[in-house]
Amino acid sequence: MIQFRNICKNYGSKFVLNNISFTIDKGEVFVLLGPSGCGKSTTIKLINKLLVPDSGQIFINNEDIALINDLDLRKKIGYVIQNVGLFPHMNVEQNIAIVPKLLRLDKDKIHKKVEYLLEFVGLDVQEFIHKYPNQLSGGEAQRVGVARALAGNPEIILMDEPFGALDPVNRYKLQREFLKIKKKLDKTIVFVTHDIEEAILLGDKIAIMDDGKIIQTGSPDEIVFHPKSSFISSFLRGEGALLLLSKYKIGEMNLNENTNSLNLPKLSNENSLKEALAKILETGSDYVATEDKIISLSQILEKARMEKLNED
Amino acid sequence: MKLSNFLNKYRIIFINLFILFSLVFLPVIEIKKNRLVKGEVLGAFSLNYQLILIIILLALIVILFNKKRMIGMIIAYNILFWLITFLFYFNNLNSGYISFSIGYYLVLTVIFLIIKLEGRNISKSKLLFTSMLLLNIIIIFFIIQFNFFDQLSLIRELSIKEDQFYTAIVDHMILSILAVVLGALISLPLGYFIAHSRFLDKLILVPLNLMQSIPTLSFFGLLFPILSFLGSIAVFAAIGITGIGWAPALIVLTAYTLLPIVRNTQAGYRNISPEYLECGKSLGMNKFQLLVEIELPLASPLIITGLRIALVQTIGAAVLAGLVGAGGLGSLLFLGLAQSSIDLIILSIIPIVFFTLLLDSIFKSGENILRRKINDTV
Repeated sequence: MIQFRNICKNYGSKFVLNNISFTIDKGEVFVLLGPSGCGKSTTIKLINKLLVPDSGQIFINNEDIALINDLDLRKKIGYVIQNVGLFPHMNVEQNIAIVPKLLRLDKDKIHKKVEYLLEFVGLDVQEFIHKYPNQLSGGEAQRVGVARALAGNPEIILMDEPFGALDPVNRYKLQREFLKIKKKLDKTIVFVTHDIEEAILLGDKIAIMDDGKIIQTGSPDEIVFHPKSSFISSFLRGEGALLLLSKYKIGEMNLNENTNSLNLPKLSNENSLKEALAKILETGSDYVATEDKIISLSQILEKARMEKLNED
Repeated sequence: MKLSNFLNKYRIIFINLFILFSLVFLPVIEIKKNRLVKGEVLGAFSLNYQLILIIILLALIVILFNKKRMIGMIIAYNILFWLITFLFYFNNLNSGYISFSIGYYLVLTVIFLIIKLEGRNISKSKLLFTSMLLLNIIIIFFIIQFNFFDQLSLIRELSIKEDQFYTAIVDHMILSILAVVLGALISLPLGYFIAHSRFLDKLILVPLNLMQSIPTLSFFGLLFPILSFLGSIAVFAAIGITGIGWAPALIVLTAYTLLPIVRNTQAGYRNISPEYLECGKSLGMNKFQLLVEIELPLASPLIITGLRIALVQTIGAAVLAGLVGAGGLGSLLFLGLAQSSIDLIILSIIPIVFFTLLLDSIFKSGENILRRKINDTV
């Protein structure tokens, strides 16, 4: 879908990207992970030609983007950034309608599209459609930002630390919703973050960058169980396997029915195995119950071991 | 207690004492047998027992409004103004030419400042405040319309020079507005371009700064030989370009509008957060769409500020157009200076002050509306 071939980029004499090559498959969430200044934001901006590489080629659907008109390319790629993405002098509807208007859709269609998108990102149409960005909370603004990125029906969405400016509670909430939306969308998403937990939770594939180079590319499991360098190990802070547990929901597991939910600690099917483990540690119980299931400490450990086996 | 706090706390008392002393110790009114002869100067003691009315009102203001300042105080000062005006005028009726003097204008200025400064803090009684201002305008209109103050030398001067006066106002305003419009046509694109280029920035701003520092009169002098030469060519002579007249006035006034408009326009565009521009770009906007839909709305409050400064400055500077025979209120003012006729000078200054304040407040509210529109919290 998206292919980087030997991309180099430097600002003045400083190398920002040093011979980078990778491929992003259709429909996957590809996370670029790294400390600040590692070149991840530069990488993402190359995809919609906000920046141009000094050498190398980028292909989208096997077409060299150097040969595609900038404006046409950008209309087909959604872009979400943290903080100031929304224009302060336009209300929610006008903000979302920018790309459809540029694509010259008719007014009725645009209005319906805006309503549909607002519902899609979980905002009440009547309440929010006429609000201005300064009347929105950080989480609400970010949802509108996502709705705007989706408005042109793009195949690709670029997200540059979209949850970076949110408080932990809202970030948690939006991350879960992102996982839900991702399934419904079936789009190729390139996601930039410096948060290893976010990368493992959201990513299908993770590319870890440092100092303008890609150090390792792989699924979250590969990264956790087979880190290629000590840099990656330090990034995982020794808790990679725990982070991995946050990827699995209790509801997705093949478990016993919850028949006698006596006084067991309660969680919901939506909660992750990591949360179930934390609950067990907090309460001292051996089991955690959800609406209809029951999970034990050993089952959680089993799952983690299975992942390791699959990986090996 | 700090001195400034002390002054601030008792400012109503100080202001009222100042008003009273001005009325008592300074000449408030001057009575003349004819237009040019020196007249007899009178202070507040000429009012005899009626002076008590003014003192009572001043004392009432202190008693009622020293602690809490509100719309009532502003109305009281407004009444004080008309009381002083009417008392002094009608006490000296039928004594020839009556004109107000320094004491009166000092009090007028103080009252104007109080109304303007305290009027800002009144949010609840906006309607009452506006209707009070409107009432003042209606009163002044009736006074002029029905020749009510016909013995006031100012009004007499006006009735002699009525046609000349109104033509001067119209000429003055046309010249000023034309200069700002021309200046805007040049400066707005210029401001946009230098906002986007560090190199052009210095190249344009340095000469503009230099030009701003040329004294107006020498500017006329510099232009005179050039325009005289141009005037000898038939094409330019046909549209009325000569060394004196409207051409040098318009050129000089336009030149002085450039810097404030260019500076503010540049600042307006520079202040836009680069993230907005990048975001607009990433959505597939071309340069023109970026300008119209993102940059222009976000820069508009500062652009209007530039236009406001240019306009206010030009209305004042256009007085000098009178020196090069371009008409306007300047020609009346310099006539008044030549004849040492204070009334004529005051008469030509009043519209300048009026239009300056009016346009300034109109543009300021325009800025605020635009600020709110882009949700700028500054």
